[in-house]
Amino acid sequence: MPVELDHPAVTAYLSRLEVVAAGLPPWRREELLAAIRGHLREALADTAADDEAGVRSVLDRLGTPEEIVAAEDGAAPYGPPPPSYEVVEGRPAPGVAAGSPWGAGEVLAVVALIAGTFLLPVVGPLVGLVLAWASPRWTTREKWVATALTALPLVLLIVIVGLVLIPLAGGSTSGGSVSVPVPAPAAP
Amino acid sequence: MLRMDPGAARQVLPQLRRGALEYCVMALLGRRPSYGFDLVRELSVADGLLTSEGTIYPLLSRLRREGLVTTSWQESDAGPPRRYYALTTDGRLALERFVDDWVRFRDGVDRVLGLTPAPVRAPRNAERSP
Repeated sequence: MPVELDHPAVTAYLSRLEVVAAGLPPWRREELLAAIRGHLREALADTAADDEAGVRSVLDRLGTPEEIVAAEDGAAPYGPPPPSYEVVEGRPAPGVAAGSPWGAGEVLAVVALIAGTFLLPVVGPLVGLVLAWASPRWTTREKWVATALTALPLVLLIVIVGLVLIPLAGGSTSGGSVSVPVPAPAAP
Repeated sequence: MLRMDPGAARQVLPQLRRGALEYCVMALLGRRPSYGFDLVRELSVADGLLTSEGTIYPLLSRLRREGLVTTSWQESDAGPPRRYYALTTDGRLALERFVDDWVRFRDGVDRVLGLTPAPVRAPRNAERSP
């Protein structure tokens, strides 16, 4: 039986590493912990569960959590997580590494959304939205953002027209109705 | 008093190691893409190069942030997928530069230390012939 990561010495090591690495950016801390877990899984694969000396030797060779975290240096700024970080550990992401968000359909969608607004006012943006929603490369959230941004001018226009026209229309009818009924009750 | 000398001599090694290790990692990745634990195994043939195996992961992360290596996940026949590292074009250029620097540096130090028998590196050291 090989040693599992729930061996007491291993869990103690990992939780100490977690504490020592607390100062790293969260994505980098997760990545480091995943790397060390993966390393231990490989290194302990040939160690028997009752081989305490073997477990200790694997952990000794790994170095202390302090040594490992000290090797994280600021010479290269961490910045945002690299794109491949979005890959969950234990699950290869098909196409993420090669995944550009731009294909022919996506380019057409943007052209239709922007140029279509001027060339073919209502139809252009609608075609753009259909193309955008058909894209396998964009996330649902990105598609909603595109839809909202496309619809925003229209919604604003309706609101503004409503705000301007309703008081005008209401003002003229109420103004008319005031002058007309007033003499009516006075007649009898 | 006597104990001070060997101690001071040993201090040099970590510095040399720190400078050379990342290029040794890049050299291994230049031959073929590899994953962390495999690199650790391959580096263990050079005694004392990687004293704390876990420090290779911060190193790999930095090389990636500097654009010298890229990573991808690949299925393994045993257990979960592994993060593989591969050398980029920038990494290859950096490695080539280091190899040039290293050869010059090593030859120079060897000569000063009196370790190089003159004929061994004769082509580069024409000035040594007289």
